[in-house]
Amino acid sequence: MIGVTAPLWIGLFIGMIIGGLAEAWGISNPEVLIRLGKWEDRLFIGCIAIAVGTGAIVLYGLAAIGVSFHWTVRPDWTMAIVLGGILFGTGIAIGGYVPGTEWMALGEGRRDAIYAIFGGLLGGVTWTLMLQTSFGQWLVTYLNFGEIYFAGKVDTNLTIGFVVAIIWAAIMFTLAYTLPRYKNGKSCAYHATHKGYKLSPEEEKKYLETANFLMEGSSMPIGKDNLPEKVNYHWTVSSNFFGIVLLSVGIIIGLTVVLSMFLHQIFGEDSVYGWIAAYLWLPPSNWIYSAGVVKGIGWEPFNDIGTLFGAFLASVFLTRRFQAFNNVIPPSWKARFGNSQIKRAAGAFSGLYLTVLGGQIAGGCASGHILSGDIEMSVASLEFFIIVMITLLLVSRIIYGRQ
Amino acid sequence: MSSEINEEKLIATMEERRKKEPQMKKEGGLKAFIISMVAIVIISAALTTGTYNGYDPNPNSVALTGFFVIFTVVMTAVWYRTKYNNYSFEGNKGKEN
Repeated sequence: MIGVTAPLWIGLFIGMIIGGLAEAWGISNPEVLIRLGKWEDRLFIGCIAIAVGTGAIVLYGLAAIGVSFHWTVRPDWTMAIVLGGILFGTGIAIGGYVPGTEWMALGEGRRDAIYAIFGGLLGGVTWTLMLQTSFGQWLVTYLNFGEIYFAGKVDTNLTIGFVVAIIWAAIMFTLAYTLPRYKNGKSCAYHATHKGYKLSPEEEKKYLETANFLMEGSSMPIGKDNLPEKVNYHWTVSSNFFGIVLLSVGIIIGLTVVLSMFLHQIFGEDSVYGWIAAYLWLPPSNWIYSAGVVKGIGWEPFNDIGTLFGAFLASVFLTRRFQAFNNVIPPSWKARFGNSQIKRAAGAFSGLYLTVLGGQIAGGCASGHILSGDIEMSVASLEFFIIVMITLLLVSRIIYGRQ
Repeated sequence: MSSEINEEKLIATMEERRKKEPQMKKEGGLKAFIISMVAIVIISAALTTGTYNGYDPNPNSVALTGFFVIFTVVMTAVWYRTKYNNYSFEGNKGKEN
Protein backbone atom coordinates (compact mmCIF):
# COMPACT_ATOMS: atom_id res chain seq x y z
CA MET A 1 0.00 0.00 0.00
CA ILE A 2 1.20 3.50 -0.84
CA GLY A 3 0.12 6.06 1.73
CA VAL A 4 1.20 9.22 3.52
CA THR A 5 -0.10 11.55 6.21
CA ALA A 6 0.97 15.12 5.56
CA PRO A 7 1.59 17.86 8.16
CA LEU A 8 -1.41 20.02 8.98
CA TRP A 9 -0.18 23.22 7.37
CA ILE A 10 -0.31 21.57 3.93
CA GLY A 11 -4.08 21.90 4.30
CA LEU A 12 -3.61 25.61 3.57
CA PHE A 13 -2.67 24.82 -0.03
CA ILE A 14 -5.67 22.53 -0.57
CA GLY A 15 -7.95 25.33 0.63
CA MET A 16 -6.17 27.95 -1.48
CA ILE A 17 -6.54 25.94 -4.69
CA ILE A 18 -10.23 25.26 -4.15
CA GLY A 19 -11.00 28.74 -2.78
CA GLY A 20 -9.22 30.46 -5.65
CA LEU A 21 -10.85 28.39 -8.38
CA ALA A 22 -14.30 28.59 -6.81
CA GLU A 23 -14.02 32.37 -6.54
CA ALA A 24 -13.23 32.46 -10.25
CA TRP A 25 -16.34 30.27 -10.83
CA GLY A 26 -18.28 32.95 -8.97
CA ILE A 27 -19.90 30.81 -6.28
CA SER A 28 -18.60 33.06 -3.52
CA ASN A 29 -21.24 35.48 -4.78
CA PRO A 30 -24.51 34.63 -2.95
CA GLU A 31 -26.54 35.57 -6.04
CA VAL A 32 -25.17 32.48 -7.82
CA LEU A 33 -26.64 30.07 -5.27
CA ILE A 34 -29.86 32.09 -4.99
CA ARG A 35 -30.22 31.80 -8.78
CA LEU A 36 -29.61 28.07 -8.47
CA GLY A 37 -32.57 28.00 -6.07
CA LYS A 38 -34.62 29.95 -8.62
CA TRP A 39 -33.42 27.41 -11.23
CA GLU A 40 -32.08 30.22 -13.39
CA ASP A 41 -28.36 29.37 -13.28
CA ARG A 42 -27.22 25.74 -12.74
CA LEU A 43 -23.49 26.50 -12.67
CA PHE A 44 -23.05 24.82 -9.28
CA ILE A 45 -24.67 21.56 -10.43
CA GLY A 46 -22.72 21.38 -13.69
CA CYS A 47 -19.33 22.12 -12.19
CA ILE A 48 -19.81 19.93 -9.13
CA ALA A 49 -20.93 17.06 -11.37
CA ILE A 50 -17.70 17.34 -13.38
CA ALA A 51 -15.60 17.50 -10.18
CA VAL A 52 -17.45 14.53 -8.65
CA GLY A 53 -17.22 12.39 -11.79
CA THR A 54 -13.51 13.04 -12.23
CA GLY A 55 -12.72 12.63 -8.54
CA ALA A 56 -14.66 9.37 -8.17
CA ILE A 57 -12.90 7.64 -11.07
CA VAL A 58 -9.42 8.73 -9.94
CA LEU A 59 -10.10 7.97 -6.26
CA TYR A 60 -11.42 4.44 -6.76
CA GLY A 61 -9.01 3.74 -9.63
CA LEU A 62 -6.04 4.50 -7.39
CA ALA A 63 -7.59 2.75 -4.38
CA ALA A 64 -8.15 -0.39 -6.49
CA ILE A 65 -4.42 -0.58 -7.35
CA GLY A 66 -3.34 -0.20 -3.75
CA VAL A 67 -3.08 3.49 -2.98
CA SER A 68 -4.16 4.21 0.58
CA PHE A 69 -6.61 7.03 1.32
CA HIS A 70 -7.86 8.73 4.47
CA TRP A 71 -11.54 7.83 3.96
CA THR A 72 -14.22 9.75 5.82
CA VAL A 73 -17.49 8.42 4.50
CA ARG A 74 -20.16 10.03 6.67
CA PRO A 75 -22.52 7.65 8.49
CA ASP A 76 -25.89 7.20 6.84
CA TRP A 77 -27.89 8.38 9.87
CA THR A 78 -31.06 8.92 7.91
CA MET A 79 -33.01 11.19 10.25
CA ALA A 80 -30.03 13.52 10.71
CA ILE A 81 -29.45 13.63 6.96
CA VAL A 82 -33.09 14.50 6.28
CA LEU A 83 -33.34 17.20 8.95
CA GLY A 84 -29.87 18.56 8.20
CA GLY A 85 -30.57 18.63 4.45
CA ILE A 86 -33.83 20.54 4.93
CA LEU A 87 -32.15 23.15 7.14
CA PHE A 88 -29.17 23.40 4.79
CA GLY A 89 -31.32 23.93 1.68
CA THR A 90 -33.45 26.50 3.49
CA GLY A 91 -30.34 28.36 4.65
CA ILE A 92 -28.94 28.56 1.10
CA ALA A 93 -32.25 29.91 -0.20
CA ILE A 94 -32.25 32.64 2.46
CA GLY A 95 -28.62 33.70 2.55
CA GLY A 96 -27.04 32.41 -0.65
CA TYR A 97 -24.09 31.01 1.27
CA VAL A 98 -22.81 27.59 2.28
CA PRO A 99 -20.06 27.30 4.92
CA GLY A 100 -17.27 27.17 2.32
CA THR A 101 -18.50 29.97 0.06
CA GLU A 102 -18.90 32.12 3.15
CA TRP A 103 -15.11 31.97 3.72
CA MET A 104 -14.56 32.72 0.04
CA ALA A 105 -16.94 35.69 0.23
CA LEU A 106 -15.01 37.05 3.19
CA GLY A 107 -11.81 36.75 1.17
CA GLU A 108 -13.53 38.56 -1.68
CA GLY A 109 -14.26 41.41 0.75
CA ARG A 110 -18.04 40.99 0.84
CA ARG A 111 -19.63 42.93 3.68
CA ASP A 112 -22.57 40.60 4.27
CA ALA A 113 -20.11 37.74 4.86
CA ILE A 114 -19.10 39.41 8.13
CA TYR A 115 -22.64 39.15 9.47
CA ALA A 116 -22.93 35.60 8.18
CA ILE A 117 -19.93 34.41 10.23
CA PHE A 118 -21.76 35.12 13.48
CA GLY A 119 -24.71 33.10 12.23
CA GLY A 120 -22.34 30.24 11.46
CA LEU A 121 -20.87 30.37 14.95
CA LEU A 122 -24.35 30.31 16.46
CA GLY A 123 -25.13 27.29 14.26
CA GLY A 124 -22.06 25.52 15.64
CA VAL A 125 -23.09 26.33 19.21
CA THR A 126 -26.65 25.13 18.59
CA TRP A 127 -25.56 21.70 17.36
CA THR A 128 -23.11 21.29 20.26
CA LEU A 129 -26.00 21.94 22.66
CA MET A 130 -28.44 19.78 20.67
CA LEU A 131 -26.18 16.73 20.53
CA GLN A 132 -26.23 16.66 24.32
CA THR A 133 -30.01 16.15 24.35
CA SER A 134 -31.97 12.96 23.81
CA PHE A 135 -33.29 14.39 20.53
CA GLY A 136 -29.73 15.00 19.29
CA GLN A 137 -28.73 11.47 20.23
CA TRP A 138 -31.82 10.06 18.54
CA LEU A 139 -30.91 11.88 15.32
CA VAL A 140 -27.51 10.20 15.11
CA THR A 141 -28.55 6.74 16.25
CA TYR A 142 -32.04 6.03 14.88
CA LEU A 143 -31.93 4.52 11.37
CA ASN A 144 -28.14 4.75 11.32
CA PHE A 145 -26.88 2.42 8.58
CA GLY A 146 -23.21 3.19 9.19
CA GLU A 147 -20.43 4.34 6.90
CA ILE A 148 -21.56 2.95 3.58
CA TYR A 149 -20.87 3.80 -0.04
CA PHE A 150 -22.38 2.52 -3.27
CA ALA A 151 -20.41 -0.74 -3.19
CA GLY A 152 -20.57 -1.60 0.50
CA LYS A 153 -18.83 -0.55 3.69
CA VAL A 154 -16.19 2.17 3.47
CA ASP A 155 -12.73 1.02 2.27
CA THR A 156 -14.00 -2.42 1.16
CA ASN A 157 -14.81 -3.94 -2.29
CA LEU A 158 -12.55 -1.36 -3.94
CA THR A 159 -12.41 -3.12 -7.32
CA ILE A 160 -16.20 -3.24 -7.49
CA GLY A 161 -16.11 0.33 -6.23
CA PHE A 162 -14.02 1.32 -9.25
CA VAL A 163 -16.55 -0.22 -11.64
CA VAL A 164 -19.36 1.59 -9.84
CA ALA A 165 -17.29 4.80 -9.97
CA ILE A 166 -17.13 4.55 -13.76
CA ILE A 167 -20.93 4.29 -13.91
CA TRP A 168 -21.29 7.11 -11.36
CA ALA A 169 -18.91 9.33 -13.33
CA ALA A 170 -20.83 8.59 -16.55
CA ILE A 171 -24.04 9.72 -14.82
CA MET A 172 -22.36 12.88 -13.53
CA PHE A 173 -20.80 13.78 -16.91
CA THR A 174 -24.12 13.11 -18.67
CA LEU A 175 -25.85 15.40 -16.18
CA ALA A 176 -23.35 18.22 -16.84
CA TYR A 177 -23.52 17.58 -20.59
CA THR A 178 -27.29 17.64 -20.90
CA LEU A 179 -28.24 20.26 -18.29
CA PRO A 180 -28.51 23.78 -19.74
CA ARG A 181 -26.69 26.30 -17.56
CA TYR A 182 -29.16 29.15 -17.99
CA LYS A 183 -32.94 29.04 -17.77
CA ASN A 184 -34.50 28.43 -21.19
CA GLY A 185 -31.02 27.83 -22.54
CA LYS A 186 -29.35 24.99 -24.37
CA SER A 187 -27.11 22.25 -23.02
CA CYS A 188 -23.55 21.36 -23.99
CA ALA A 189 -24.98 18.47 -26.00
CA TYR A 190 -26.96 20.97 -28.07
CA HIS A 191 -23.91 23.22 -28.48
CA ALA A 192 -21.86 20.27 -29.69
CA THR A 193 -24.39 19.30 -32.35
CA HIS A 194 -25.18 22.86 -33.49
CA LYS A 195 -21.91 24.50 -34.44
CA GLY A 196 -22.06 28.30 -34.50
CA TYR A 197 -25.10 28.34 -32.16
CA LYS A 198 -25.73 31.76 -30.61
CA LEU A 199 -27.56 32.16 -27.30
CA SER A 200 -31.27 32.97 -27.35
CA PRO A 201 -32.17 36.55 -26.30
CA GLU A 202 -33.29 35.36 -22.85
CA GLU A 203 -30.15 33.28 -22.36
CA GLU A 204 -28.01 36.17 -23.57
CA LYS A 205 -29.69 38.45 -21.04
CA LYS A 206 -28.81 36.03 -18.23
CA TYR A 207 -25.24 35.78 -19.51
CA LEU A 208 -24.71 39.55 -19.41
CA GLU A 209 -26.56 39.97 -16.11
CA THR A 210 -24.32 37.29 -14.62
CA ALA A 211 -21.17 39.03 -15.84
CA ASN A 212 -22.40 42.27 -14.29
CA PHE A 213 -23.53 40.93 -10.93
CA LEU A 214 -20.30 38.94 -10.49
CA MET A 215 -18.37 42.21 -10.72
CA GLU A 216 -20.94 44.25 -8.81
CA GLY A 217 -19.37 46.06 -5.88
CA SER A 218 -15.84 45.60 -7.16
CA SER A 219 -13.63 48.23 -5.56
CA MET A 220 -11.15 48.35 -8.42
CA PRO A 221 -11.31 48.97 -12.16
CA ILE A 222 -11.24 45.76 -14.20
CA GLY A 223 -9.25 47.35 -17.02
CA LYS A 224 -9.31 46.71 -20.74
CA ASP A 225 -8.38 43.71 -22.91
CA ASN A 226 -6.73 41.87 -20.04
CA LEU A 227 -7.07 38.58 -18.19
CA PRO A 228 -9.78 39.76 -15.74
CA GLU A 229 -11.96 40.85 -18.69
CA LYS A 230 -11.60 37.42 -20.25
CA VAL A 231 -12.42 35.74 -16.95
CA ASN A 232 -15.46 37.90 -16.25
CA TYR A 233 -16.97 38.20 -19.72
CA HIS A 234 -16.08 34.89 -21.32
CA TRP A 235 -14.84 32.11 -19.08
CA THR A 236 -16.98 32.16 -15.95
CA VAL A 237 -20.23 33.15 -17.62
CA SER A 238 -20.02 30.67 -20.47
CA SER A 239 -23.11 28.51 -20.86
CA ASN A 240 -20.89 25.59 -21.89
CA PHE A 241 -19.82 23.45 -18.90
CA PHE A 242 -17.53 21.53 -21.23
CA GLY A 243 -15.74 24.67 -22.42
CA ILE A 244 -12.04 24.39 -21.71
CA VAL A 245 -12.00 26.66 -18.64
CA LEU A 246 -15.11 25.48 -16.75
CA LEU A 247 -14.20 21.88 -17.53
CA SER A 248 -10.59 22.33 -16.36
CA VAL A 249 -11.67 24.02 -13.14
CA GLY A 250 -14.12 21.20 -12.37
CA ILE A 251 -11.45 18.58 -13.05
CA ILE A 252 -8.79 20.37 -10.95
CA ILE A 253 -11.19 20.73 -8.02
CA GLY A 254 -12.09 17.01 -8.23
CA LEU A 255 -8.42 16.04 -8.32
CA THR A 256 -7.56 18.40 -5.46
CA VAL A 257 -10.15 16.72 -3.23
CA VAL A 258 -8.65 13.32 -4.09
CA LEU A 259 -5.18 14.70 -3.29
CA SER A 260 -6.53 15.99 0.02
CA MET A 261 -7.85 12.51 0.87
CA PHE A 262 -4.52 10.98 -0.06
CA LEU A 263 -2.56 13.43 2.09
CA HIS A 264 -4.71 13.75 5.20
CA GLN A 265 -8.51 13.86 5.04
CA ILE A 266 -11.54 14.87 2.97
CA PHE A 267 -12.15 18.51 2.14
CA GLY A 268 -14.71 19.93 4.57
CA GLU A 269 -15.57 23.38 5.87
CA ASP A 270 -18.40 23.42 8.42
CA SER A 271 -16.90 21.76 11.51
CA VAL A 272 -14.68 24.79 12.12
CA TYR A 273 -17.64 26.75 13.47
CA GLY A 274 -18.21 24.08 16.16
CA TRP A 275 -14.45 23.87 16.74
CA ILE A 276 -14.21 27.62 17.40
CA ALA A 277 -17.24 27.41 19.69
CA ALA A 278 -15.54 24.58 21.60
CA TYR A 279 -12.46 26.70 22.29
CA LEU A 280 -14.36 29.90 23.08
CA TRP A 281 -17.49 28.84 24.94
CA LEU A 282 -18.24 25.11 25.15
CA PRO A 283 -15.21 23.21 26.50
CA PRO A 284 -14.58 19.57 25.49
CA SER A 285 -14.71 18.47 29.11
CA ASN A 286 -18.45 19.27 29.24
CA TRP A 287 -19.75 18.76 25.69
CA ILE A 288 -19.75 15.60 23.59
CA TYR A 289 -19.54 17.39 20.26
CA SER A 290 -16.74 19.70 21.41
CA ALA A 291 -14.71 16.71 22.60
CA GLY A 292 -15.08 14.98 19.24
CA VAL A 293 -14.39 17.98 17.06
CA VAL A 294 -11.34 19.11 19.04
CA LYS A 295 -9.79 15.63 18.79
CA GLY A 296 -10.68 14.94 15.20
CA ILE A 297 -10.98 18.09 13.10
CA GLY A 298 -7.55 17.61 11.52
CA TRP A 299 -6.42 20.26 9.08
CA GLU A 300 -9.89 21.66 8.40
CA PRO A 301 -9.14 25.03 10.10
CA PHE A 302 -6.18 25.40 7.74
CA ASN A 303 -8.43 24.40 4.82
CA ASP A 304 -10.80 27.21 5.75
CA ILE A 305 -8.06 29.80 6.13
CA GLY A 306 -6.67 28.66 2.79
CA THR A 307 -10.10 28.89 1.17
CA LEU A 308 -10.49 32.46 2.38
CA PHE A 309 -6.97 33.39 1.30
CA GLY A 310 -7.22 31.65 -2.08
CA ALA A 311 -10.45 33.48 -2.87
CA PHE A 312 -8.85 36.75 -1.78
CA LEU A 313 -5.84 36.22 -4.04
CA ALA A 314 -8.05 35.25 -6.98
CA SER A 315 -10.26 38.31 -6.45
CA VAL A 316 -7.25 40.64 -6.53
CA PHE A 317 -5.01 39.02 -9.14
CA LEU A 318 -7.35 37.06 -11.42
CA THR A 319 -10.93 38.36 -11.42
CA ARG A 320 -10.52 41.84 -9.85
CA ARG A 321 -13.81 41.39 -8.00
CA PHE A 322 -12.40 42.33 -4.58
CA GLN A 323 -15.11 44.45 -2.96
CA ALA A 324 -13.23 46.06 -0.06
CA PHE A 325 -16.41 45.65 2.02
CA ASN A 326 -18.53 47.91 -0.19
CA ASN A 327 -22.25 47.82 0.36
CA VAL A 328 -23.50 45.20 -2.11
CA ILE A 329 -26.85 43.47 -2.00
CA PRO A 330 -27.48 40.51 -4.31
CA PRO A 331 -29.94 41.53 -7.10
CA SER A 332 -32.51 38.80 -6.33
CA TRP A 333 -32.46 39.73 -2.66
CA LYS A 334 -32.79 43.44 -3.55
CA ALA A 335 -35.75 42.75 -5.84
CA ARG A 336 -37.51 40.82 -3.08
CA PHE A 337 -36.52 42.62 0.13
CA GLY A 338 -35.26 46.02 -1.03
CA ASN A 339 -32.03 47.85 -0.41
CA SER A 340 -31.96 47.64 3.39
CA GLN A 341 -28.56 46.64 4.74
CA ILE A 342 -30.10 45.53 8.01
CA LYS A 343 -32.44 43.11 6.23
CA ARG A 344 -29.55 41.74 4.19
CA ALA A 345 -27.42 41.34 7.31
CA ALA A 346 -30.27 39.44 8.96
CA GLY A 347 -30.64 37.26 5.86
CA ALA A 348 -26.93 36.45 5.68
CA PHE A 349 -26.83 35.75 9.44
CA SER A 350 -29.90 33.51 9.53
CA GLY A 351 -29.02 31.81 6.23
CA LEU A 352 -25.57 30.73 7.42
CA TYR A 353 -26.97 29.83 10.83
CA LEU A 354 -29.25 27.31 9.15
CA THR A 355 -26.64 25.96 6.73
CA VAL A 356 -24.04 25.43 9.47
CA LEU A 357 -26.61 23.88 11.81
CA GLY A 358 -27.92 21.68 8.98
CA GLY A 359 -24.40 20.72 7.96
CA GLN A 360 -23.41 19.84 11.51
CA ILE A 361 -26.51 17.73 12.03
CA ALA A 362 -26.00 15.89 8.74
CA GLY A 363 -22.26 15.46 9.35
CA GLY A 364 -21.09 17.55 6.38
CA CYS A 365 -21.76 20.54 4.18
CA ALA A 366 -21.41 21.38 0.48
CA SER A 367 -17.70 20.55 0.73
CA GLY A 368 -17.82 17.58 3.12
CA HIS A 369 -20.95 15.92 1.71
CA ILE A 370 -21.75 17.29 -1.74
CA LEU A 371 -18.18 17.52 -3.05
CA SER A 372 -16.01 15.12 -1.03
CA GLY A 373 -18.80 12.75 -0.02
CA ASP A 374 -20.17 12.35 -3.52
CA ILE A 375 -16.64 11.75 -4.82
CA GLU A 376 -16.43 8.96 -2.21
CA MET A 377 -19.84 7.77 -3.50
CA SER A 378 -21.19 7.95 0.04
CA VAL A 379 -24.85 6.97 0.33
CA ALA A 380 -25.42 9.62 3.00
CA SER A 381 -23.91 12.32 0.81
CA LEU A 382 -26.12 11.48 -2.17
CA GLU A 383 -29.20 11.53 0.06
CA PHE A 384 -28.05 14.86 1.52
CA PHE A 385 -27.53 16.42 -1.92
CA ILE A 386 -30.99 15.34 -3.13
CA ILE A 387 -32.74 16.65 -0.01
CA VAL A 388 -30.80 19.93 -0.13
CA MET A 389 -31.71 20.50 -3.79
CA ILE A 390 -35.41 19.73 -3.32
CA THR A 391 -35.60 22.01 -0.28
CA LEU A 392 -33.60 24.77 -1.98
CA LEU A 393 -35.92 24.79 -5.00
CA LEU A 394 -39.09 24.73 -2.89
CA VAL A 395 -38.01 27.38 -0.38
CA SER A 396 -36.62 29.64 -3.11
CA ARG A 397 -39.96 29.44 -4.90
CA ILE A 398 -41.69 30.49 -1.68
CA ILE A 399 -39.25 33.32 -0.93
CA TYR A 400 -38.52 34.72 -4.37
CA GLY A 401 -41.66 33.59 -6.21
CA ARG A 402 -41.51 33.88 -9.98
CA GLN A 403 -39.28 36.95 -10.13
CA MET B 1 -13.17 35.00 -28.08
CA SER B 2 -16.65 33.77 -27.22
CA SER B 3 -18.59 32.23 -30.04
CA GLU B 4 -21.82 31.74 -28.15
CA ILE B 5 -22.88 35.37 -27.64
CA ASN B 6 -23.48 38.29 -29.96
CA GLU B 7 -20.09 40.01 -29.86
CA GLU B 8 -21.53 43.49 -30.44
CA LYS B 9 -23.74 43.27 -27.36
CA LEU B 10 -20.89 41.94 -25.30
CA ILE B 11 -18.54 44.71 -26.40
CA ALA B 12 -21.24 47.30 -25.69
CA THR B 13 -21.64 45.91 -22.16
CA MET B 14 -17.90 46.01 -21.61
CA GLU B 15 -17.67 49.56 -22.92
CA GLU B 16 -20.49 50.64 -20.61
CA ARG B 17 -18.48 49.28 -17.67
CA ARG B 18 -15.20 50.83 -18.82
CA LYS B 19 -16.83 54.26 -18.95
CA LYS B 20 -17.91 53.98 -15.30
CA GLU B 21 -14.53 52.83 -14.06
CA PRO B 22 -11.88 55.12 -12.61
CA GLN B 23 -8.50 55.28 -14.28
CA MET B 24 -6.30 52.33 -13.34
CA LYS B 25 -3.50 53.29 -11.01
CA LYS B 26 -0.22 51.62 -10.13
CA GLU B 27 -0.80 48.72 -7.78
CA GLY B 28 2.73 47.33 -7.68
CA GLY B 29 3.33 48.28 -4.03
CA LEU B 30 0.12 46.64 -2.85
CA LYS B 31 0.78 43.50 -4.84
CA ALA B 32 4.29 43.25 -3.39
CA PHE B 33 2.73 43.57 0.07
CA ILE B 34 0.23 40.79 -0.69
CA ILE B 35 2.91 38.47 -2.03
CA SER B 36 5.01 39.09 1.09
CA MET B 37 1.98 38.28 3.21
CA VAL B 38 1.45 35.01 1.30
CA ALA B 39 4.96 34.02 2.33
CA ILE B 40 4.35 35.10 5.94
CA VAL B 41 1.07 33.17 6.15
CA ILE B 42 2.65 29.97 4.83
CA ILE B 43 5.75 30.32 7.00
CA SER B 44 3.71 31.05 10.14
CA ALA B 45 1.53 27.99 9.54
CA ALA B 46 4.53 25.79 8.77
CA LEU B 47 6.62 26.95 11.73
CA THR B 48 3.81 26.74 14.27
CA THR B 49 2.59 23.28 13.23
CA GLY B 50 5.94 21.79 12.18
CA THR B 51 5.69 18.18 11.14
CA TYR B 52 2.64 17.44 13.29
CA ASN B 53 0.22 15.42 11.20
CA GLY B 54 -2.37 14.37 13.78
CA TYR B 55 -5.97 15.51 14.02
CA ASP B 56 -5.86 17.98 16.89
CA PRO B 57 -4.48 21.28 15.57
CA ASN B 58 -3.01 23.86 17.91
CA PRO B 59 -5.61 26.67 18.14
CA ASN B 60 -2.86 29.26 18.62
CA SER B 61 -1.27 28.24 15.34
CA VAL B 62 -4.63 28.55 13.57
CA ALA B 63 -5.32 31.91 15.23
CA LEU B 64 -1.93 33.34 14.24
CA THR B 65 -2.24 32.17 10.63
CA GLY B 66 -5.81 33.43 10.44
CA PHE B 67 -4.77 36.76 11.90
CA PHE B 68 -2.20 37.32 9.15
CA VAL B 69 -4.80 36.47 6.50
CA ILE B 70 -7.44 38.81 7.95
CA PHE B 71 -4.82 41.55 8.33
CA THR B 72 -3.92 41.18 4.64
CA VAL B 73 -7.57 41.34 3.54
CA VAL B 74 -8.32 44.39 5.70
CA MET B 75 -5.20 46.31 4.65
CA THR B 76 -5.97 45.57 1.00
CA ALA B 77 -9.53 46.81 1.48
CA VAL B 78 -8.27 50.03 3.05
CA TRP B 79 -5.75 50.49 0.23
CA TYR B 80 -8.33 50.06 -2.55
CA ARG B 81 -10.93 52.23 -0.86
CA THR B 82 -8.36 54.99 -0.46
CA LYS B 83 -6.75 54.61 -3.86
CA TYR B 84 -10.01 54.57 -5.84
CA ASN B 85 -11.98 56.89 -3.57
CA ASN B 86 -14.55 54.30 -2.39
CA TYR B 87 -15.34 53.22 -5.95
CA SER B 88 -17.94 50.46 -6.23
CA PHE B 89 -18.98 49.01 -9.60
CA GLU B 90 -22.75 48.95 -10.13
CA GLY B 91 -23.21 46.61 -13.03
CA ASN B 92 -26.92 45.89 -13.01
CA LYS B 93 -28.11 49.23 -11.66
CA GLY B 94 -31.60 49.88 -12.95
CA LYS B 95 -31.71 46.40 -14.48
CA GLU B 96 -32.82 44.41 -11.42
CA ASN B 97 -35.15 41.55 -12.24
